[in-house]
Amino acid sequence: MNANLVLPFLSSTVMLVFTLLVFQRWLARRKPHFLFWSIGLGMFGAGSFAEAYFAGVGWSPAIFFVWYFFGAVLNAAWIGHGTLMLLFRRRWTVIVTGLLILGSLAALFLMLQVMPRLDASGFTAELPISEQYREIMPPVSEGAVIRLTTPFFNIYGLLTLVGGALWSAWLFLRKLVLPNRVVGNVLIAAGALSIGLASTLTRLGYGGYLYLGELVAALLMFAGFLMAAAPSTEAERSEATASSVSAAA
Amino acid sequence: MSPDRVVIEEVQARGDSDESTEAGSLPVAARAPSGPSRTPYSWLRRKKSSGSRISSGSPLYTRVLPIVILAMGVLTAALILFAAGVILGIVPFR
Repeated sequence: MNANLVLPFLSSTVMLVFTLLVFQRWLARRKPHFLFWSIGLGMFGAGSFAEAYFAGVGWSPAIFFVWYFFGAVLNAAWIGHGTLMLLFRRRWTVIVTGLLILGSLAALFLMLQVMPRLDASGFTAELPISEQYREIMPPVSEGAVIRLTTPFFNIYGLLTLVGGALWSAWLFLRKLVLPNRVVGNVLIAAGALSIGLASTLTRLGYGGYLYLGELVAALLMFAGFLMAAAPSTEAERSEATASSVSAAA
Repeated sequence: MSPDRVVIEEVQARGDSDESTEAGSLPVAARAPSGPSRTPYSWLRRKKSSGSRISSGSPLYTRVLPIVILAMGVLTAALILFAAGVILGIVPFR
């Protein structure tokens, strides 16, 4: 069984379900954080799908574009931005949103610039793409400026997604309320850290851990989201039912 | 209004009201009238929502999770510093 195929396939499957669930919530409530989360999670899933594609089908420039642009560059920032929109409801978040969109468009331009310069002659489906992308992309000095943008997006994603989840967990923990939110946010932070760590190891040349890190991240974040969104106890569910019945009366 | 409901409303005001609205639980407790109510399910509303409270004696929530949160915060800071080091050229860009 090819782990380079199975692991990303599982990640993309989990992310597909996760993305659809969050997108469904955006459709129902039209809150911006659900939209950004679903876009970011969709990017995550697209990146994982690309990895499975490389292992199962082979090389494709378009799939490489999907993998690097959505999987390596943008997804952390967009998921994290959703957390920012949830935690802060101020006008300055509109400015940050604009900066994120502009930055993403600039990254798109840089990515399109590097596409004609890819060299996949040494590509092999036996290795993860995370261990080959440096040989496929030209050096930064020869046109792959897009590679310099990943630290900026990843820093923003780490700060907002992990920082936001940890801050939320701490807030509820300090007040000794909502245990499901505490644990849920801790799981979300742990998942985001998992992929952050795996990405860092990839940058240091240990790309073999990326696929496992992605799967762990997908499972932890999904579990955290489900837990954080669930009522804590049966008593709360009863209260919710009572409220809806009395409101309808 | 009871101290518990004050805490719950303050927590909700921090911005998680959407998800808790979806859960359908805490906003009910937060909005419940403080005085006597004559609606059929008022006894449920007056019931203290103890399920949303964390026991102050729980070792998981008072010892383990604070340490876990702190450790993850340190790890996050380390990853951010690493990425900043890449930007500044301190960490070799491979």
